[in-house]
Amino acid sequence: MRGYTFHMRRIFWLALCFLVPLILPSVIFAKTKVASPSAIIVKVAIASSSATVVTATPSAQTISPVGSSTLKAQGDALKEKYRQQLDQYRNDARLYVIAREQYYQLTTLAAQEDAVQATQKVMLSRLAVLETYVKLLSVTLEDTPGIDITQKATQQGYLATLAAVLQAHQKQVELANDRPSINTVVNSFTNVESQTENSAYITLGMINYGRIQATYDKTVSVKDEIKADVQQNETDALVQASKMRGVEEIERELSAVDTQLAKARLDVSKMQTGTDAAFTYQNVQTELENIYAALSRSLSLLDEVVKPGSS
Amino acid sequence: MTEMTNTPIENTDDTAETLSNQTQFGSEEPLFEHASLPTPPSEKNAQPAGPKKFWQDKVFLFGVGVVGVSLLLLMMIGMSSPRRVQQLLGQNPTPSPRPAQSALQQRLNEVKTDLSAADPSQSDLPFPPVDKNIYLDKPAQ
Repeated sequence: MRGYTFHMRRIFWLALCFLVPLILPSVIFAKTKVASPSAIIVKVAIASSSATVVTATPSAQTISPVGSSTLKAQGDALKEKYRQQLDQYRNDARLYVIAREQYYQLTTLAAQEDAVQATQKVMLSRLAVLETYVKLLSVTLEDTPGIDITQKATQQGYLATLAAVLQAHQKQVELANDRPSINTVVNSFTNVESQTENSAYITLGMINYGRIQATYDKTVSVKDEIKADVQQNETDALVQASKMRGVEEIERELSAVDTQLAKARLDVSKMQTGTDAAFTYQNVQTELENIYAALSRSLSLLDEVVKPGSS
Repeated sequence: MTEMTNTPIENTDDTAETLSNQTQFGSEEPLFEHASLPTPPSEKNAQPAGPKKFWQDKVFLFGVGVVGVSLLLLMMIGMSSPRRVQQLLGQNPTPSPRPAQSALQQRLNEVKTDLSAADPSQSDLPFPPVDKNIYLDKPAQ
């Protein structure tokens, strides 16, 4: 009995030793409204571990403009819709090919009826894909910086007209429920498809050009900041002179890029007024790819100038 | 060895020869002659074991130590002002020697990311892969 009491006392003291340090700080810090030591230790550890990740205040160019997030959300929703409609179109196209082959082989009225319905369905699926694609182009164009506002507005007008044309054609297809009317809408689609392709190429050219132009503008801005930093903060005169020579070399490269961009801008304008947009689009693409390579080289050189210890 | 145990040796003096034969010495030594054989219980051990006071318990002393250290720690933290705690939480332990340089590097990386997204050969909006020649009756050649 005596030994039992002795052990119980030891257990009591052991429990007290562990409980007091746990409970007492909570009570004290709850009253003083200060974070508990454990929380402070954790927060200090987090702060110290993330100290290297802490970045400078975001520059003006990294802040998204108002409405950009909404456009991006719209674009994402349209992309998802586009994928679903494309899957539906592929399924309908498979059924259409089967129905048409049966119609050719059997030459029965039932087979013809099935083929008419299958053709109508696949044409509607195709139109839905194209309509969503045009909307996607419109949203992406609106969200793309670096494009002249007038040019952008004009192209948005073309895309709106094209969407109306597609909707009108869709109504014609919906009404085409026999063989002659199907043949009629098949023929009229040639004109619709030509307009769609033309507008798509022009819009794609503008989007690609706008993205490159916006990146060029940012590159020039960063180059100016780096130049100012070298002039003001570089203490070693030899290193400063070397870095300034590097910056001047980059400025020459960027000047050449600016000339190339002016030509690409002109070609994009020609696309809007010309007839063969697909051909001009290929030319614009080649020019933009060259500009892309030159910009990539300029950024690598700027990286070399910014790196600490580089001369 | 057998020879040594069977040969009696007179125990008259402490010669080197006599002392070297330990077997004979042990057998001839009178028992209970020396008082040092069984050690009597010490006075300390002989005392009856009474109940230990709780302040003599090692666990209690350890507990007091832990409580004391934790109180000391709490006092030290309490003495430091909340502003100091905020500074501890918020400050950069190793400030960069050239913060402008790292900011420029960050800007440069952002522009590189933008350029990658602007690659004209990687168009994210290709023309839909749809069949342009859907028909029911074969068109006239």
